[in-house]
Amino acid sequence: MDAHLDVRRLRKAYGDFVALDDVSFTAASGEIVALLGPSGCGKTTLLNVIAGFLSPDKGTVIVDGRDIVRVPPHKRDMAMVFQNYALFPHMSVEHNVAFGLKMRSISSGEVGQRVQEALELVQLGGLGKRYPKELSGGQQQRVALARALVVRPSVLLLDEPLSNLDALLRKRMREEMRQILKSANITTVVVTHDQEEALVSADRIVLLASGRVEQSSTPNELYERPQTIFSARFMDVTNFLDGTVIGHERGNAVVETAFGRLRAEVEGCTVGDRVTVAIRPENITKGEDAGENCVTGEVISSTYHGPVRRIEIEANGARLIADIPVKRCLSKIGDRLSVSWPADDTRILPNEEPGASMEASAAERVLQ
Amino acid sequence: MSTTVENGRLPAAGNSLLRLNAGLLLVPALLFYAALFVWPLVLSTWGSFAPAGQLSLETYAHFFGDEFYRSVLWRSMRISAITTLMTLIIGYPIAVYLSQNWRKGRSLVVFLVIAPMFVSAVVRSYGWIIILGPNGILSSLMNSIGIPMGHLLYSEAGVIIALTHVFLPFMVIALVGSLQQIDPSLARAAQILGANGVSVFLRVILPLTLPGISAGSVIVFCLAASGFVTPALVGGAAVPVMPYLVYKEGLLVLNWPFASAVALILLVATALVTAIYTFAVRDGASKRRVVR
Repeated sequence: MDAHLDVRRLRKAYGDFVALDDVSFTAASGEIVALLGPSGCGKTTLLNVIAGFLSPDKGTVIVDGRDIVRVPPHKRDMAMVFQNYALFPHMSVEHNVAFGLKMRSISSGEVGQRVQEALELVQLGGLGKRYPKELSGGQQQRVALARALVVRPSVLLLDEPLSNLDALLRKRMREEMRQILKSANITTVVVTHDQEEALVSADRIVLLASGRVEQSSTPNELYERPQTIFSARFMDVTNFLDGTVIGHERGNAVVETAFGRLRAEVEGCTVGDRVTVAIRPENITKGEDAGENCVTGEVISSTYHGPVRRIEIEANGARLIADIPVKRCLSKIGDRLSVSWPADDTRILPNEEPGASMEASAAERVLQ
Repeated sequence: MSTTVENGRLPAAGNSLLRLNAGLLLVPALLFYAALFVWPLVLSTWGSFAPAGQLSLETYAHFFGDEFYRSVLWRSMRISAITTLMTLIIGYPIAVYLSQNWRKGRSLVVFLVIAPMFVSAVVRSYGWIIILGPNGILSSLMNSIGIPMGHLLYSEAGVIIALTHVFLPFMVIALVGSLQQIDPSLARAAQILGANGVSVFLRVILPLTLPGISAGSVIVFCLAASGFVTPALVGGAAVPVMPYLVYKEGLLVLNWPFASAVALILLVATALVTAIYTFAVRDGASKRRVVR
């Protein structure tokens, strides 16, 4: 895979605070990479370094084989969509979109044509004469996208592009945006704190925590196979149980936990390892026969979440959170309930040292 | 699509009492202005049109018929315009500096800009007399480095320098207000789209500060046109301006109808210039939007 954008070992510190600590990632031509993480993880700093608004203390940014870390922003041939869109309030939609083309000294005939094409691409063909303040939030977002796309940048940067839209519009726009970016085949780096947005719109996700890359993988892999407790928590895994690997059986590892022996998928663990077992709440089913692992305990809380009820079960002093479809769930607090889940959905993560689990709980606070 | 919410525009219930009586809130100020501003203005306007008890344009004919008086009006407008331009040129960079909150030493610069306003106009003008005078600091400095020059006291240039100093804070304050309203990400958006520093300024920052430029210019122009102390002390009789003429005709010659006419001509001229200027700026701003 040839890297179109190659970010190598970036470091940026503000006094004692290290915003970026040895951050590297690459993006292939036309690939959409999401920089995902909680606030303060360094993702916006990283985007500003790529754009050239900040210079890193160490490291390089390479585009098309050229080191551009000392090149000023206006010569980087990039484009950016800002969180608040940053549309020029004194210019009409057309002039906003034409701005980057004029800066590139493109003839006025071509400017007019490309502006019209870009506006049609984002379905705003008829609104060229309007001013930004006359548009709705969603329309402003599209203008910002058109203004960035029209220059055909070598790299497109998106800073929380959908965070100012309401929930319904956001869901629609993230799919639409992915389609537009894919059809334009532009290498894109999108910053977001919303894991769902990253999963839907990106080809690859770089998960950042405290200025470091926690995991860099495809959305599917990050969701299904998180490699650390932080990644798992950020991807909505709610159940973490400490345990010890006591053996292997029929292709599964057997782990001794507070809930007794649990079977888990095998991945790089040897007998005697201290590990953390991670289980996603939606993979747990009511009843005793949905998989190799079964727990019976007392229901201590039950919350309505729309399609599911989030049930918390306590057994042997440990707790388990399960999302049970509302129709199947009649349990009340105090009832005894059995739940089960397959070994395939039971992930084994390295048991982390105290410092790392503090970060994981910090991530949990951010998510709640 | 356009369901824009007017942020915080909902009237708070507790304010309804104050809202109902909004007119009453202005009564003290209106009375004050009516008694001490509008009424005297009416009186002096009447006086200028009826010097001998009956309606006539005699005073105005006297003013516009005399080349000296016309030159005074022209000088007043010229001095005010150049002063406005000077405060704009000097004030804009200061305002840019002050609008950047992260700058160190910002409060010191704020103090330096505002400081002249703590000192009375008379004291400041005497300061300029010392600097600009025949054996003043400026001419001795220039002579000592081999550039012979006369002194600027009792000259139009001297008056403009002193007025620029006096009115700079007004311009800076107006510009800072308008610069601080600009979203900092606009400059970055322009940069990443390929605009260098000059283009960012000319195409984004400058157009967005036109309201501030307009407001600051109107304030400085009006103050400079109506200023009396500084032109009188620094320029004296050698640089007669309209307020000086009002003073001379009203208090020395005791020709009140003519003094009233001069005052009214100044008022109308200032209002005309600022109106034309404001419209030109607004027009320029809107034309920019149409022309590709």
